[in-house]
Amino acid sequence: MPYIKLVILTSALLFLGSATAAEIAVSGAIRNDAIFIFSGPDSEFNNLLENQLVLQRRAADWKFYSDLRFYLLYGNAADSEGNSPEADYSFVPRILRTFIRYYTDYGDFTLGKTYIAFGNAGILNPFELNRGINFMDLNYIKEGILALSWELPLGALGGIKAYSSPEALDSDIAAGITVYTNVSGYDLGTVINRSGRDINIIGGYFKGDLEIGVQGSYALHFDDHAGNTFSEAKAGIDYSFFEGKLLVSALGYYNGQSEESIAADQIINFSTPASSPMFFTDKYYMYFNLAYMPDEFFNFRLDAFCNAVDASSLFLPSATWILADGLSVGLQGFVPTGAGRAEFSRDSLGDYGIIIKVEAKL
Amino acid sequence: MKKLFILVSAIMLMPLSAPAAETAKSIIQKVDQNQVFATQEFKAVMTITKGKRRLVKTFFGFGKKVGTKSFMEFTNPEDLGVKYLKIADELWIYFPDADDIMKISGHMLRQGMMGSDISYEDMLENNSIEEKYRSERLGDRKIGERDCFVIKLTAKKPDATYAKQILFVDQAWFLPLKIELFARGGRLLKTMTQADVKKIGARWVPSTIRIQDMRKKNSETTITFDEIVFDKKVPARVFTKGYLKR
Repeated sequence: MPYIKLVILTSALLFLGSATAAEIAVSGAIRNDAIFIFSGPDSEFNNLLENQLVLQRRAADWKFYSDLRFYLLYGNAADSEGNSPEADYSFVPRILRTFIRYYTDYGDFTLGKTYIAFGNAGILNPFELNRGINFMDLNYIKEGILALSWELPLGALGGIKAYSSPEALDSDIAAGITVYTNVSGYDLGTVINRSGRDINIIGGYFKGDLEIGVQGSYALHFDDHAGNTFSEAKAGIDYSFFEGKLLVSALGYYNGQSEESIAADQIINFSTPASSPMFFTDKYYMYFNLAYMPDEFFNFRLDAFCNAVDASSLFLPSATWILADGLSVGLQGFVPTGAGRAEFSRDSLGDYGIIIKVEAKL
Repeated sequence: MKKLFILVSAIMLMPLSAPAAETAKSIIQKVDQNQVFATQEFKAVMTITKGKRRLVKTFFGFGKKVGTKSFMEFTNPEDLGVKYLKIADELWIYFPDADDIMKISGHMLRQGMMGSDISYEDMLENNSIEEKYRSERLGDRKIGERDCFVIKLTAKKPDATYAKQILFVDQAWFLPLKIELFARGGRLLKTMTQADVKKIGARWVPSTIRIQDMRKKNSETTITFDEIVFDKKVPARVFTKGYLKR
């Protein structure tokens, strides 16, 4: 029954969107992830049904964009959303983005729930403001924050971007500024950001080519008194073979956060969206990705996170088949290799898991 | 008087460009003249076929010769709002869901655009052939009903995408109707055919381009141009990272 309610609700919203605002383009997607976790003789089943509704309108001087999600969760995922243990299902609406952007001679202004992106886009970016990592979908779109942002292009490839947001830790103000440019084929930038009380960051990043793709980021964290400093850094390379059909990338990640900085509430760890910080708390990590994309109809990926301190790893193999325009099915596994109290431990995460994914874009 | 009459008659009977008189260099210069533009604006449909399966993508774009700049935006539902900006040998992709721009490493330019048989480089390049290749005339051949020059191109630099190309250039339009693209080892990589030729201004332009990757079975990509406009002013802001977010 909840499935039917969800489909009816989405249909009603799609109809409402189309009927009341003919000039607003309506699109969306329906996804279902069936998640099986196996641990010794036990197994666990979770299900995540997601409806995405995107409303957008683009005019000469402005743009409106809204990305709404409606989740129907079953199993542990439902419990983690604060559902009562007796209920099997949990319905969760979420606004990932809803903003209006004005283009003026003084720069582009964005107001609303928007994603603020600093640094090199991708995994374990030290300048990432939303530090959620979704192991079920590493490319999952991140939730934005309520903010006013301003971006002034300087030339074709450079610019300044600044934002301010009331969504900060300890009811403080979050704000940041980045200046970016391109020199000799390298994207370069510097960032200063404050995410909340005692959580400040300053640093720089680059991305370019030395025959192979190279990138690096360095960030220095500090509290409001310029103390409790520690470093966070990332360096990566990538290369493709067979005309881009096989892509291999690797990166190293360093998190110099100490017990003192954690005690000072300077918690910056990446984590999964539904859990308290529990991942990437050690100093050294490696991330590897191998992607085989022979054509538009099939692709295979192998992602692996390795904790270089306790030598545990999490392997995420996945395959996606495109059946028709907008319709795809996928299969993903997750295999932790550690044991006991290791970060990617079979004892805490299960022996292995399988996710069956179906997605229809509308 | 008789000699003059014979000379005038001979000139009048001679085709506008005598095929035999054309050298590889003059043919390639005319091909370049026909296909290299100051600016370009287009709308197109890309159909990717593998066996019985078919994916259709629609997009529009702009190109500019100076600085070899290209901008492209997809409009089909699955890829709605995905945009590309290419300046010289650098490529950036904008993902509307994420509202974020990602720089793509140079080695990825040889990847099939959106998984098709045509690479980003093939699609977004606007360089003259003469700049990158040495040419040699091999002879003449018919492609369908059309008489064509056969020209062999050899890359001037070892890092060129294709080490060798064989062009079958229409003798009247100076447009390659068929192009064979070879790897350094001499292996045939792709075959490109250009059809449904229309005259736009002073140029002969194909409305349909069909690309077959010879290493894949039953796979081909067809690009059909619904609209093409050349040498119309395109605002400079189109070829900026800022424009990707609009």
